[in-house]
Amino acid sequence: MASLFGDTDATRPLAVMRIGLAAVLLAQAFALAPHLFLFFGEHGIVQAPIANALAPLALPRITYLVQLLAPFGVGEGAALLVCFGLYVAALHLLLAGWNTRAAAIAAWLLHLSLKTTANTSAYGVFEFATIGLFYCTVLPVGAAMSMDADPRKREAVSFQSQLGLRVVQIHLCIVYLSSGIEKIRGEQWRNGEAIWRAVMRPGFAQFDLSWLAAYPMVAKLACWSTLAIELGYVFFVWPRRTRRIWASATIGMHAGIAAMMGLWSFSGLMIVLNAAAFLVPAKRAVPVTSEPLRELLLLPAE
Amino acid sequence: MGSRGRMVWIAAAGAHLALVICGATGITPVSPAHFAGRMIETYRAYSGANNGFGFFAPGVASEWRATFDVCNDGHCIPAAEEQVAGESRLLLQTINSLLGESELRDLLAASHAARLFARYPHADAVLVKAGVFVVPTMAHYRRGARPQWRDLYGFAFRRH
Repeated sequence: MASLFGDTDATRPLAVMRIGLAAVLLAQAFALAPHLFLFFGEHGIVQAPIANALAPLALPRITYLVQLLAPFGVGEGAALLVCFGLYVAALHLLLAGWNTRAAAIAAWLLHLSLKTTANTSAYGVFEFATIGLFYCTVLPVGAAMSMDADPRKREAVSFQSQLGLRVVQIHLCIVYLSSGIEKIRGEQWRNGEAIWRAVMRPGFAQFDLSWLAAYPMVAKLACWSTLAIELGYVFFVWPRRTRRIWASATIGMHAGIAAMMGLWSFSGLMIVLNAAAFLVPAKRAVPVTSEPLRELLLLPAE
Repeated sequence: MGSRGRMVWIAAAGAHLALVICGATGITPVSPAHFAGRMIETYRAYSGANNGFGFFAPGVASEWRATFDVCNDGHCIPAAEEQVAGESRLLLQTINSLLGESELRDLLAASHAARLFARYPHADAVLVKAGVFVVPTMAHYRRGARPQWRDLYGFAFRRH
């Protein structure tokens, strides 16, 4: 058990996850900002009573904030702007790693509020953002590559960081395995029609790929490659010899989804999670026994 | 950290991952009828452990859209759809995909209509049409079939 969780320092992979997650969510927030009221407003496309009825009562939402701030004369519009502004600010702090834990908690709760408010428009990227931000609240994501980073405390969080990295890695394996199993059950993924249908949908189509119909083997190959990557993930991402190949192939698949279907935020987030979990090397934690070196590293005397 | 502390962390991680597996397989671990079940469901919702991951599975669904006609004194004209691009377009698509769910279709149409009545104060009626983009199979495409929008449902709303 100790060798699984205790002898390496995984603070850098977790830091990459924190930075990448914050950067992708900031880009998404700026992309959504011009249409904030359309999707998150009380009188947006899906109005508040309908959206609220579809979300569990226990989840935070802008409506609750509006009710809380109503005695102070703060309306729905101002509450939404405050919530969104604080969310963006919290993501900046998370990116920089300044008061990382508090920033992560704020970003997570504000993200949940926005997601619940616009639950009818929340697609995959929102779900992975919830997962990623939750991990940022409990794992030592600010222990490296951050303004909070303190080399003297790195060793103290070695166990949590390594356990945390393992949890993220296993979570990704569950994601791809279940996704692969769901896909292979469908005939569209076995005969190549899934890729054809996806790239022909006007909402996803980035290029005219109608020529695929003349070469159905290309679509079929793309479908089976996706299945192989997803179903093989759990088996090939752990062995050292195949880890880089499989993680890179998975990242390539997400880059392809971004380019071909315009799912930039979703793909960006998945690329960040894969890169952080399997491509950023975790350093082996070597106890520093030399006193001059301890002084140099600002470590307390033993 | 002592060994007991480590065991607590490992147990918590294991429990969390067990809930992630439940989410991925669509299993509700404890009925929400019980207090413990409600607590677990709340934790799953807050942590994202309740998510399924069947993206585009078992098949890629058809794309839905809503189009509108606004009417005044019996004359109807098409109303512009929301003009959004990039990430916002993906959110709009997700909303429109609810038109494919029979229990939500009329609610969403009503929401669209309310928005249109606000945008067009002189309209006395609004027609919301739910359409689906029909993509032929590759074999049918080679034989000449082409993808096309097809309106499947219509909802008429009158201002009171």
